[in-house]
Amino acid sequence: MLRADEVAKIIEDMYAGEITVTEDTELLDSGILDSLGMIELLERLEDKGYTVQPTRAEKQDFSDPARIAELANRQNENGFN
Amino acid sequence: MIFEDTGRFGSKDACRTADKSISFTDMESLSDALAKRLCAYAGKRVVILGEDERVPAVMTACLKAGVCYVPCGGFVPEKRLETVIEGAGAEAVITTDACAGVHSAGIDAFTVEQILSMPEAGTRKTDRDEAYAIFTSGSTGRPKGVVVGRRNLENFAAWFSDIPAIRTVGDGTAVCAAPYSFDLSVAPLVHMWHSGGTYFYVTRGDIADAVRLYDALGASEGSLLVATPTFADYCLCDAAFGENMMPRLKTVFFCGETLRCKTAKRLFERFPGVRIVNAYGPTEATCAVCGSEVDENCEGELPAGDVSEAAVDMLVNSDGILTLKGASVAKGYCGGERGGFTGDGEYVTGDRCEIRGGKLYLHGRADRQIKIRGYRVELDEIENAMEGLDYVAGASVSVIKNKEGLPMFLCAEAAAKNGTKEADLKRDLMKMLPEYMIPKAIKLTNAPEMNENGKKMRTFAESR
Repeated sequence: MLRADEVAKIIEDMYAGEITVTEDTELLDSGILDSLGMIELLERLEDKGYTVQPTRAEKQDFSDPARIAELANRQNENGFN
Repeated sequence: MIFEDTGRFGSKDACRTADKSISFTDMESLSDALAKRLCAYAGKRVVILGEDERVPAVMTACLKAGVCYVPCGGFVPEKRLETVIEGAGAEAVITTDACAGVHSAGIDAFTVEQILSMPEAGTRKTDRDEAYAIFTSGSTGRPKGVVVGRRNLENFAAWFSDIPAIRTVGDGTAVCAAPYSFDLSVAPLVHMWHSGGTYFYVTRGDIADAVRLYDALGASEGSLLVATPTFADYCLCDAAFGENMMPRLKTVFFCGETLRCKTAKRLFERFPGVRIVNAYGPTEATCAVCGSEVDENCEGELPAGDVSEAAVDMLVNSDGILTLKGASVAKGYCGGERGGFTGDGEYVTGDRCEIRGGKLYLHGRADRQIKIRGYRVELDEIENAMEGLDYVAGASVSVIKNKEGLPMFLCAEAAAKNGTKEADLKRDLMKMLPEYMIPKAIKLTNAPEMNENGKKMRTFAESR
């Protein structure tokens, strides 16, 4: 299971610690996850063994680390993927 | 001229978006009708705002009427639009669709319909050889307009259309997600004018929503994808992006930023047999000047062009800086600023490079210019914009890079008046700069002392 705080940490790492991200930090309207951010996040999730397919998700599934963790877990459940 | 008589391509689509289209026949008659009215602006510059399927027809009309067009895309912050209008000395704004913002710069503003209702202005000609002006980030703090002539455009068209991997596309559809304000869009325009291939324009709205984007790509029937590597990486995020989604895709033409071998390999996997061209060229030399076809077994650094096949001559000085010389080198900047133009048909790019085995390899910049998602960004322009705010005394912008060392995000530090909020500062920047130039995070420190004008400490930025 991927945890929300792990997602938050991945995003903080992407920003080399320049920003603080918690489990409920808003990521879309704030511009934190723009297209480049999305690419990098999905690549890093893949490195951790979680493949996330944006076409099988709603935009709002990426709105904060908790929802991203939920999405990654949902899409990577055995038997459902 | 390539933009003339495109009506010969008949009833097939000249330009399409996800939900609208215009045929070559209609583009020809619309551009003729507009040109007869736009002749009143011959020899002058006109801004085009919008991103619908009629924009190429308006551009064609401007070219026919001898008007230099300044494409600004569908959305541009109001202050930046004013800067562009002023910098270009534009005398009118043409809006093609409702999504384009209304402006108030005090010059003529028309919709396409309003122009059509004007009386014909005859066939006034001009000797000025200006096709378009595209604005790019300027290190002085203001965007600078690169003026490209018709001869430059012709030279680019001849070079581009003769690339083997482009020839193989024939009159197939070219898909491009770059806004009209970004000169990567010149490639699908040329493909449309020259080869009769449909230009499928991916809008900002499509890109913002992954599901809409993949729907648009699936409906595009694209044979040629003209993109920045970042756009391809974005598409590749989803396994659905592959030959089933775009069964006709033959060639991907990349330009605008460094192409990673990883991206190319993933494309070869998803689209077996696809041909990939990694191209290079600054706006100052008309879209692209050289390209290399990527090998399926590529490793490490990819070449950005075959020097002997380039659209211009390429010279490397003793500092390793690339200079371009030839018919693609643009006319200069709008305001007459010299920049890298030497005045005798040469442009000093500022790109560090090496030519090895007849191929061009790029090694970054000699200055503070970077590429974010293919967009050219001068860090100085952002710092100047921040320091232009009366409550900011000093600013410094830094770049966060990914594993491959390519720029990913911008962050900033600003010394500002006590009590300044990050969100307010960002909001003020949004009025002046395009979205890709806004730092993701701005650390605020108190300005030690602000003088009466609020201005003082350039030293802050210099202490980086």
